[in-house]
Amino acid sequence: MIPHVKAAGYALKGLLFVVMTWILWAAFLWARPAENFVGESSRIVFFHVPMAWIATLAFLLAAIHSGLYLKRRRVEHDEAAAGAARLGLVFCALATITGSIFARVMWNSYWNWDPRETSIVLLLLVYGAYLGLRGAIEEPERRATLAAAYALIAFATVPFLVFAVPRMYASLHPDTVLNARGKVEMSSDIRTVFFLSLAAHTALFFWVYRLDRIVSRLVREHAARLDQEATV
Amino acid sequence: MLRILLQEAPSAPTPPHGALFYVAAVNIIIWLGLFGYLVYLDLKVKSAAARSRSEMETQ
Repeated sequence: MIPHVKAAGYALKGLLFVVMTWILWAAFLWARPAENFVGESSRIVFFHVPMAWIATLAFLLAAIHSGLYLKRRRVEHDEAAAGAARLGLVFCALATITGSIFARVMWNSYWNWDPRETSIVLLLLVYGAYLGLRGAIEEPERRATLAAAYALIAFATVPFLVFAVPRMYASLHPDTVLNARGKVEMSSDIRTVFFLSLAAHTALFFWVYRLDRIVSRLVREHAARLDQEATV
Repeated sequence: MLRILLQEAPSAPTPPHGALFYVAAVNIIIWLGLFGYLVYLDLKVKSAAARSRSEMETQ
């Protein structure tokens, strides 16, 4: 690897370490709780929203790589799409669980079938089915093609489930970060911690995603070597 | 002497830390552990990738 790229990688990881540690301190001890929330419950915004944002981003990446796979037929794009969908599902589940804990504090019930809660369950099912589909087909090329086609169709539901449904129906869920008036209505301390948290969690996601891609490549190369040895 | 010790020890005030201090501290410790493990994994995976690449080149 080129030395300055390596140095930049170390610097970014160091920065992530410092910023995330600061966020964990500031989220609980620096930012004041928001108004109109029960007790300290508003602090969940620093963790729950980044989880949902990363899930959306990961599903978008899965769709982009799926499109690229259908166009170029390169196995790297299939691996990238599968990795993004896997991680997206993990972050989507984390958003669901953290949201449910918030619901218990705010509305005295873990689950209310609120439009936001319903839409995130649908999203979990849609991407759970994607992984199910991948697991059900053994032939690699057929699996990659069908999964890519499915991921593109699945992503068509994301804007509707994540952005449209919560704005179309009355919901218990607090205003989205960018509210109906097109404004971010947060106090400056909450805004600072929130956007830094969003950036730090996104960086963390890309780090893990990159590792996932390297591991997928290693597994593929290892399988190819085994095949080669078997034929010799 | 014993009476002095018994009188002194419990009278020390507990530090004025609220629940949020403990939550933040626990989260930071967990983050430190996870970050350390992620760095370890990163180095391990990258060295395996470099080894695999050099093996492919020599073949």
